[in-house]
Amino acid sequence: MGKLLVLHYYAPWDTFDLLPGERWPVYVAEDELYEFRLQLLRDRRTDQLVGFSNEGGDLARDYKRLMELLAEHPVPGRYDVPDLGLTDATLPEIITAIYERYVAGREPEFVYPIVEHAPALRVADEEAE
Amino acid sequence: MTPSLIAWLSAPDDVRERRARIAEYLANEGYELPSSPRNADYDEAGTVHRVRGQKMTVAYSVVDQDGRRVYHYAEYEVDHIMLRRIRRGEEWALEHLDLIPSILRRGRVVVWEIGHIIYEGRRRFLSPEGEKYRLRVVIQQQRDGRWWVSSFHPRPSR
Repeated sequence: MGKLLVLHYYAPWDTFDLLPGERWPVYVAEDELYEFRLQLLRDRRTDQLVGFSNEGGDLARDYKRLMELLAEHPVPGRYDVPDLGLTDATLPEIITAIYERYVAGREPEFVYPIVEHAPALRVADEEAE
Repeated sequence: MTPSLIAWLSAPDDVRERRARIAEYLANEGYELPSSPRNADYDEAGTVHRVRGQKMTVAYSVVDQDGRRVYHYAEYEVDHIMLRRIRRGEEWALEHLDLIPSILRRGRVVVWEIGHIIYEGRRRFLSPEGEKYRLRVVIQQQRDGRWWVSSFHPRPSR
């Protein structure tokens, strides 16, 4: 038996929260290690790692890189996610199950732009000569 | 914890009613939603955009520090940002929702990659437990080129 996680999925934005319950007081303990594609959430009272989120990210865009990052920086622990029919699953297994359920095979309605707009020029605040 | 709270907050079909329920809940918890920010552009307020297949109503827009026009949507603010903060016990941060325009204009850029930018406010805030936080705003670009606010959340500040 793993620790219980409840899945909250925000479609069609492809973001999720995995928390121990419907509501849980947490804080973002780590996100830089995962290039801001995953937040590790810790309980605000006990400081224990209790959940995960990709708020502000996009699972459709980030999945492949996220799996690479989780291979480089594994998250210990096994979890039960009844919403996905998973027991004793690792975090990559859980995220893969979310990806397969909500993202894979879906007609892509959203494609990330491949060209960045050039940022506007910055001009110093000085009087014109 | 109250398992049915989120369902109750999400129940009304009308976004203004959902917002009113959230405001009522927050008031009971001792928090107050701020007024709409003054330093935003309301020319397109009420306009409906389609974001990832969903109809979204423009609450306001902001031109960020690099000249992008960034839209903030009423439905997204209520159904995602507010509910998420409540799920995570971060209700206090919702009192500062009106800082989104300021953070987009004057915040530090934490991440800048194609179609995805994270800004961080320069001010630090204390949570009810006394922990120091900064507020982050994430913007993303849609296929049609429009930028929109996709997250507003607190991040512990070392």
